[in-house]
Amino acid sequence: MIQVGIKKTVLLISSSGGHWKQLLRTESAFGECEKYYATTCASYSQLVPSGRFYSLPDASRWNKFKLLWQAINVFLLLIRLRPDVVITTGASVGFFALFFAKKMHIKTIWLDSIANAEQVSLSGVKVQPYADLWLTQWEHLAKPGGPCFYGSVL
Amino acid sequence: MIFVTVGSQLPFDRLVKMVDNWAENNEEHKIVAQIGDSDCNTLSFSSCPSMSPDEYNQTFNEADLIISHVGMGTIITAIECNKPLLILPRLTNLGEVRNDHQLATAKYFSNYNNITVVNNEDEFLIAMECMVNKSIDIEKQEINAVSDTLICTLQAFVSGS
Repeated sequence: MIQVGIKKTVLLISSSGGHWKQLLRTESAFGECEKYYATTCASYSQLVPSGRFYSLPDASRWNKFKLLWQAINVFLLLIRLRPDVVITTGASVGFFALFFAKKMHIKTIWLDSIANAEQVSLSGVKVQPYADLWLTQWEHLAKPGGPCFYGSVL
Repeated sequence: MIFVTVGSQLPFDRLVKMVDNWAENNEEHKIVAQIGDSDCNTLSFSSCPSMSPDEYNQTFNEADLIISHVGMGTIITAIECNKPLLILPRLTNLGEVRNDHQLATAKYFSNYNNITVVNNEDEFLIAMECMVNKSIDIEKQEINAVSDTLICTLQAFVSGS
């Protein structure tokens, strides 16, 4: 049978470190898609296929100007790639990605970091209106109105 | 070889100094450390602020023991490689982190076979005594995989988009 149609494109985006490590563990769900990757550490380009990686400014200390600069860069990346779906594990860079993606009618997934075992992260709470699929990795944090729990990356 | 890693962003000098104090009496052990933007500059072992992913993975693979903060990157990598991991939670009241989620995370991961959580220098020294001087054979854990339900949910979501 001939398969007709264009591959879906997915942008996997998060800050560096543990968020990124968790994000890459979801990759197998997007086997049939064109995947693009973005994070806040340029040297991570070594970890993904060439030509698929985008480096973003870091704002790990939540400096207002750095955050604004990061948001602008995330917005420009979304305009450039126009993916069908955006998935993130956090933190600020993921929040901005879903915030803009939702306005651009791109489907959005927030998978809250497994590090947040006792409460959903601050950005995870704030992102709710912009997340089409709003997930926690801890069953005891799931609620009827979301976030939902369908398992974890571990 | 012992690999000390505190992430590449915030320093964690309380842990680095604990390792340094221990190392003074245990010179036979090689230590490699990634210590972020640290104020510790007279350490008895080699250190750098941050490593490239390749360098990090290579050092991780060669290490017999990992010492770290409660960072998910380190925890996941240690579980994937089945390496013994000793972790000390960062605390907000010492200015080491923005919130105390590392305390909660440590509690939830302390039941993994390869992970030992310590909360102060005394506990650190006791744990080091156990982990370094005994050959540790960690029972392989069957909890490494990503949940099927999570992958299916993501797949279905993308297909429907």
